Formats: sequence, C-alpha cells, structure tokens
Amino acid sequence: MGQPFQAANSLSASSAGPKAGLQGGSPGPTSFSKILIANRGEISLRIIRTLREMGIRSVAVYSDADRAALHVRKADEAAHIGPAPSSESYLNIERILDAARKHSVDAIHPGYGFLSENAAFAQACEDAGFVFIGPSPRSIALMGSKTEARRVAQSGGAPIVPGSDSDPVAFAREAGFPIMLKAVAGGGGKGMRRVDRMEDLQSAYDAASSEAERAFGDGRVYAEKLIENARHIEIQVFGDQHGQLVHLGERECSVQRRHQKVIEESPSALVSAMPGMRERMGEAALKAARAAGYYNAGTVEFLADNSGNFYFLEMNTRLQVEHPVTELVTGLDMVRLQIEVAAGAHLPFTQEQIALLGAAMECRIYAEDPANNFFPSPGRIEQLSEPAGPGVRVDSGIYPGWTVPLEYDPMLSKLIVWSDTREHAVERMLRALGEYHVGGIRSNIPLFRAILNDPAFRAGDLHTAYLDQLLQTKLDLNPAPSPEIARIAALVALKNAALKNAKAEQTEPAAQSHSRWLAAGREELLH
Amino acid sequence: MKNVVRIDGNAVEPIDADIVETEPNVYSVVTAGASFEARLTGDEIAIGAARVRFEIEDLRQWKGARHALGAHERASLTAAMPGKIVRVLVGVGDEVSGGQGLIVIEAMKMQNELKSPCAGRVTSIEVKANDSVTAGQLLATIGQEP
Repeated sequence: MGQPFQAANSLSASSAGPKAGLQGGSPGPTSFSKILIANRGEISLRIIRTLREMGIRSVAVYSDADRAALHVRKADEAAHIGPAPSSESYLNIERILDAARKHSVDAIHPGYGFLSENAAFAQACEDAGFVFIGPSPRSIALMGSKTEARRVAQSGGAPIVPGSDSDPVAFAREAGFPIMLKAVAGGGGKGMRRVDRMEDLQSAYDAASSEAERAFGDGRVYAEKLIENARHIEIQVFGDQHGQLVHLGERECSVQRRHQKVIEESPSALVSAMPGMRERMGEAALKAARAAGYYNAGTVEFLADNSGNFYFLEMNTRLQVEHPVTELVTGLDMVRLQIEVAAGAHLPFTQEQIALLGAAMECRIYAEDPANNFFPSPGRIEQLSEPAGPGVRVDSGIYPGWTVPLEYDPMLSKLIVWSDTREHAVERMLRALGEYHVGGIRSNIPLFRAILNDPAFRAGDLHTAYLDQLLQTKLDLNPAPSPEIARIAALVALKNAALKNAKAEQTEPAAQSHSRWLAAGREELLH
Repeated sequence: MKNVVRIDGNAVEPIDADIVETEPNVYSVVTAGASFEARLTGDEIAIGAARVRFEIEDLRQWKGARHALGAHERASLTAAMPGKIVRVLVGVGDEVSGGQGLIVIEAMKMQNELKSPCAGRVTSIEVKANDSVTAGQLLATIGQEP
C-alpha cells in the first residue's frame, strides 16, 4: 500500500509521524484470490487493472450485448449472465450470484451504478458467502433513502438543506420559492423538478413522482429549499471496519447538464480560496458517515454557496465515477484500498498523513452530439486515438471496431488529467482533448473545448446552472474550417480515394496484371 | 479530366503538399510551414478540432468516396433498425445538401437524425410522424431531377 503524497495542503492542521500501516501492526487481513466485478465497461476494466496489480484473479460478467466488450477481453475469466436488458443481466442478483458460485470467487465488487447501492444485493452477497466490496447493507439502506440520509446526517451534526417529506405545499409556504422536488429513492437526476410558483407545484409533483416510480419503482418525493447559484462540492470519505474514518478532500462537480455531472475537479477553486472550508466540510462529512456506521469508500455530497456555507445533500455509498480525480491528487489507488479494507485491513494512514497535491480534472466523454441537441450517437467506433503523455489518464471501455451498445449508458470513457495548478490542468486537458479522436460516432469532445476556454470556467466561477447558461449562448461547437484546413482535407480526400481504388484493384485478380500501373497513373493525375 | 473535391459542400482546390498514409485512414500532411494529422472515417475528415465532410465528383467514380448523383440517379434513405418516426424535417421538392438532417427517428428509446446521403432534391417522402418503421424500410429518396 503506497503512502499518500506528503506535501503542502495537508487536510489537517496537526502533524503526525508515520502510523502503523498494512505491513505494520494490523492483524493479518484475509486475502482474496478471485473477485467478480458485477459491472461492465470502463469501471469494470479499471477494477480489473488494480486486481491484476494485486495478483488477484478477475471475473468479468457480460450480457449478450457485451460479448465483445473490452472488459471481457481484459479479464482473467468471464461469465455470461443473460440477455442485453440490464434487468435480465447486470441488475439480476441471482444470475450474478450464480456466476460468482460457478467461478468460485471470494468477493464481489459492484463498481458504480447497477447494483452498487442496492442493500438487498449487498446482503445477498454476504448470505451467499461472498464479501461485498463496499459498506454494510445497513449503511447502504440508511443512506439510500434520501430522506433517511438527511435525518442521519442531521443527527450526526452535519448541516442540511431545509426540506420536508410530509407536506410540500406547507413547506413551500414556509420556506418560499424556488423549491426542488426530489425522488426519495433518487439518483442520477431522475425524479427531480424545480418549482418556482405555487400553481406549478401539483403538476411538478406528479411529474417527479411518476418519473421516480418508473426509474426506481418508488414514487415518493420530498421537497427541499433550492439554493440558487449553488455549487456541488462533495467529500470523499474512506473507513475501515475497525472504526477509523478519514476524508480525502473534496471534488467540485458544479459543471452539470440536466443534473448529470460533466466535469469534476479536485481541489475546488472555492474551497481552496476559503480558509478552513475544507476542514469544516471534511468534518461534516465524517459526522454524517459516522452516524451511518460507515466503512469502505463513500461520498458525501454538499451544496455550497460562495460565502462558504454548505449543506448536506446526500451520500453515495459506492465508488464514484469521478474517483480518479481524488486518486490523482492523493496518489492513492482507491480500488486497492477498497479491497484491502473489505478484507479486514486497517486504513494504512491517518487523516494527518493525507495531503492534496496539485490539481486534477475529469471530462466524461459521451457518445452524443453536442451540436445537435445532445442526441445520442451510438454506433461503431471506426477509429480511435486516445491521448497520452505527461499527467494524462484515460479510463476507457472502448476500442476501434467496438459498437457502442444502445442498451446502456453511452459513456465512452473518462479523460482525467493532473498538473501542479488548476490553470495548468486546464491547459493540459485542452491539449489532451486535441489528441483525442473518436471516428465513426459523435462525441461531446467539442463541448469540453468550449467549456475549458470559457473565462468563467477558467476563473473557477461555477454553479450548478453554469453549463445550462453557457449552452444558451449558442456556442459554435462545429466551427467552419479555415481555408487552409479545407484545402488539406481536399488533398486527403483525393489521396484516400486513389489509395483505396488501387487497393480494390489489387484484390481483383483480373485487374492484377496492370493494377499497379493504373494506380500509379491515377496517382500522377492527382498531382 | 479533373476531380472536383467538395468540402462541406464547397468546391475546394487541394493544397500542394507532401502526404503520406501513416496508419489506415490516418494521413500526415506536411506543408512548407506546418505539419498536420488528418483522420478519415466514412465521408468525414478530422484535422485538429475541425471536422469536415467531403465528396469527390469524378467520372471515374473512385471507390470509397461519395459521388454526386448523375442526372437520373436516385439515392434512398432507409431505416437501419425498427423504430418510430418522430419528425420529418424536409418536404418533397426541397433542395438538400449532403449530410443535412431529413428525418428524426426514435429507436431503442433514443432519437436519431437521419441525414441525406448526398446533395440533391427530395423526390419522395415515404413516411410521416408517428409511423412505425421496420429495418430496411424506405423512408425517402433523393434525386437530381428538378
């Protein structure tokens, strides 16, 4: 287990000497020899990579749509778990447990999404004799209900957004508009509605409730005061099963579209600028997590205003999509850490030993066309060139020739960069985006260019409506090529046609005898 | 006999520069003052942040490149998979450019804009909004007749 970077920006004011780590005084933790990953795509592959480094065999699972997926290709073993619809494969607890039994695994890593925050699944894993790599089923159940999580957080002493799950009308009268309606079982922006006027409340409530019913099988909705121009800032927490709980600093995820995170970064420009805010948020997050008896990786989400006030929003009881951002500024492998504490190890560091170094940023690359209303753009990836070089990490689940399935989230990859300062990280991200080419389908790469070049983003002047407002300014996401670029493209088109034609004739036996002469002649004509 | 290359619909004179195919469909272009990498997929070329569509008009009709329609040729737009028509964006007689959106179709809970395979004039529209279509069903035809 590597120690986190020792550097400036220590997350705690006090200093401490080295503490006993995994190799130190902890009682010998059980070790795993084989782990099943109940997920797909980039996160499955990301977990496989850590397992390989740890010498643990990996078992991938796949549906009919994913037989040729990258995570299946890269795993040590693979199990087919059913047809393409998630309900019959990645969300089917019995089929996943069958695969785990068949492959004799010791533990199951749920990744994010799918069954990762399903308390029944965590319980079923343990009942079947597999270690669930995550928190206890009880913590998942407590924090999975948004209203219950608010109560737990409040009882632990964390500040919460004023809200009510009993009578939204009375609450709106008392707290005033705007308010936000949210699904009790919610997540991923589903079942959420902003309400500005009493006369819209009933219809918004009905819409949120039916959307929640469809998405989560639970139509309960509660109301919260809407904090205008709020920033979304979350704290990564990590606990072992012996009661030690630390936080790994914050991530700011204010750049969102339709309540979905688009860019995440650590540290937050706001938190870095406000003295003591990181420590206060970290403490509040630990209070909420402690009240839930939490262990393993978790994220406590807050809304924050520019004066440094913040309110508990919800807790995600799993590894987050954006965990690489924290990995890059802390130097930790969070998946390794998850596996170690699930095996019973003590956390190999204390709060005082954790420090944030530099700045990291993540762009979620999606198969969608930002120049065309963000229409999904599934299909075959004809060409792929991924960025590389200093400070660049690509967590990807795609390869050239892979057809992005229609059945699942269309995220292609996560592009993550690290540099010494936020400004340099932005420059590095722009450089990396310039190296990124996905041919055959559309991606949202042009959108990231526009955001990263926007002066407000550069200044760290963010809030959760930032991106929606930027998109209303009619960004030119597909600018006309310069005359020089157009002339180069014309040359490329001709050269390509000549080469393809020559190749086609080479494969026709009748034309073989003179094809090279013909091709050469055509080449001549082109010049 | 001269090729005419259209970039985003405009006739463009190719630059005089050194060009090498370095990987399949990846070209290195070196001019006196600059070096470029161009990536070609289908009828699209990406150079840096720019993404352009190309077509080549040529009597010899190079394989692998889109050509303009002859006087009596027609191109047809068909459904790639079963789905439902959400919107029809053009009418019969409309002049369209290659790559212009013609019909919005919803399949697998996602909407997709079907684009014209070439420049020309819409000669028929075979579907209307809310129609269900099967894979391979003809949706529209594009021709050159006025």
